[in-house]
Amino acid sequence: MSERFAQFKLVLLGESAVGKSSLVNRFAKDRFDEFRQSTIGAAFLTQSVRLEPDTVIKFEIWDTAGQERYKSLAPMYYRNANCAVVVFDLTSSTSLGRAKSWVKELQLQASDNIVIALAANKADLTSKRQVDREEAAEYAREAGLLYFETSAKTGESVKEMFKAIAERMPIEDVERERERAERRALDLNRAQQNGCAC
Amino acid sequence: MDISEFDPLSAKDKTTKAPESTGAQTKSDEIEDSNEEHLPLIVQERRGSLPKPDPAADEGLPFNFHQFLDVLRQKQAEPIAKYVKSFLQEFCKKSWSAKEQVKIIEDFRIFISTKMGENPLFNTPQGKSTLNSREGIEKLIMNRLYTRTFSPKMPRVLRRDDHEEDLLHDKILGEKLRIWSWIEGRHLDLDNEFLESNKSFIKLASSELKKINEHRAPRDKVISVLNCSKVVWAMIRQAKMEQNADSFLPILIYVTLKAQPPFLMSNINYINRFRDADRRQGETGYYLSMLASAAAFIESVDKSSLTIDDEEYEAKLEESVKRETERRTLNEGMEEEPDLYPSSVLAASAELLVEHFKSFTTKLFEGDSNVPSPPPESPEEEAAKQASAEEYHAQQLREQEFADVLATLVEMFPTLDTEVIEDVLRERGVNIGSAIDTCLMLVE
Ligand SMILES: Nc1nc2c(ncn2[C@@H]2O[C@H](COP(=O)(O)OP(=O)(O)O)[C@@H](O)[C@H]2O)c(=O)[nH]1
Ligand SMILES: [Mg+2]
Repeated sequence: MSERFAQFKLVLLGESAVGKSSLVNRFAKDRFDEFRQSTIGAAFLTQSVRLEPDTVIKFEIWDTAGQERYKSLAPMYYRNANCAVVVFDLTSSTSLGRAKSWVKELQLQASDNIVIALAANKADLTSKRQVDREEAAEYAREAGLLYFETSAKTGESVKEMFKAIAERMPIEDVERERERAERRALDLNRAQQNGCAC
Repeated sequence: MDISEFDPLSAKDKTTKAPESTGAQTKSDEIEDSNEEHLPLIVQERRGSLPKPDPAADEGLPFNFHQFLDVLRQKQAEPIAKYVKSFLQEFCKKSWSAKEQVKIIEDFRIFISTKMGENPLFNTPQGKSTLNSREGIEKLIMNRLYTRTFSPKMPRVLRRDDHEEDLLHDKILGEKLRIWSWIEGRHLDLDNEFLESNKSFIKLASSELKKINEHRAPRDKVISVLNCSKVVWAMIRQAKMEQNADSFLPILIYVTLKAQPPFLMSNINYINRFRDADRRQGETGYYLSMLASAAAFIESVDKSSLTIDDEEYEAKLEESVKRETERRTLNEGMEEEPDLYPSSVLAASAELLVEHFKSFTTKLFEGDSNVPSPPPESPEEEAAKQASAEEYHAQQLREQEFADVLATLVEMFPTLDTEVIEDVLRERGVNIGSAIDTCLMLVE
């Protein structure tokens, strides 16, 4: 059987300085393969995750401008996103509040089947922790989110988080869509041939 | 529109055939594209190679429109050329909503690419030319249908609701672009000095962005957005700013305000409608969204979205609104551009409409040259002449562009020798993107 392959759009949301860019850089730097590359600039990155021996999920990672004045533009970025990583800094409880409102907005406005992961970042700063693990995990469970305590600094749980997201990507839908497109091409040509026959 | 309708071989199509221009049937260059070939700066939109062959994998091959047209002119390609011709004729027989246009063109794309796949001329053993053919078809038909699909160029009688909406949106954004044109870097938390010392980047990025309205083919419009983005990144890297969206978006907004690109919304919508869906994804899609969000920001700017004190804000805004109001009164009465087409009332008369389309369709394959046609020559001679005139014209354009780009790069990289930059440019073939990359490397 040939390799299964599909691309999915991933957006990052969260307050400024919680570590969104650092998480992406950490994830994208772990060279899974050499074909991850952006040609225009650094705000759009791709990185692939290999699942079983025969499945490759490629993430297209969209960095978003985090400044408050651009907040209203967010829907333009998360439109059609297959997954989102909402990040907060576990040394700041206000950043969790901000993350929760992103989650709410995504659940209301983004694609229905969007997969959301909540990343409690800066897990290496144990002594400064302000957010209780149980509390955050409980919130994530209730809201139907994946939950990971990550550190972009040490790399803790970063790969695991993206892999967990990859596992939830609807690769079958993509394949079905591909087949549908092929059938449509056939149909169009058949329609034309029938036209010929008359 | 049913696919069988544009099949020239189908029996029921005979009645709807447009008048043929003399000898057009046998002339092999009848689909010659007479619009000058714009030279895209990024010749290839390179994407990473993928673990499984997909359409993006052969994108390493730069798109060559002339090569495509050469193939299309060959005898063996005649069926394909006929499909294209009859598709264009059918398309022009009616007015369509933008949504319908998207569907019709998408169907034709699928249809013709299957046909081309069955044709040995287009389907080489290596399958190399597949992408070139897809790009070629898109450019050919969209060049031809530009005045029927790009809202600002459409005659009023053909515009439907969604086209009118484009124009309204353009008008609103155009006003906002002028009203907010006083915004300085610092109002977006960009250092004024930093912008001043990099103004050649800003200038180049704006002029690239403005080209979005000069090109006709969706791909060329996209390339102007990508080139603009690339120049912004070059500026970010040169200034050693953090390379992320936080840095990129404010500069893009600033560049957009400086560029004042005409009909920006229509251009963005046109790209989203008619650019090959597979080529509109990924990184390209990201930068198109960035541009759309820059436009959305400009459309909704208010005091809270700027770093500015009340006094300055009120003063600047008052002045620019005053100017805009004056401009509006000045333009009153000249609002609608002189319409060369029958007014909607007259056009309701079917006869007039038919006349209109007749002249349109005969013009379709004649080439748009204003030069009075010389005494009839053999088709081969004529084609050769036209080709060499075009080549000459293209050469001139290239030289002009080379000089312009060289001047800008010299300004942008004052520490590099002019000769060095010239070498880089010659080697890179006036590819702004990679020339800038090389210059940055040399500076670093
Ligand atoms: N100790 C620690 N610092 C981090 C971590 N992730 C990010 N940072 C730091 O937090 C700051 C903001 O990170 P950045 O990725 O720019 O945040 P963004 O604004 O959300 O993209 C930077 O100084 C990072 O070095 C982490 O996991 N641990
Ligand atoms: Mg960031």
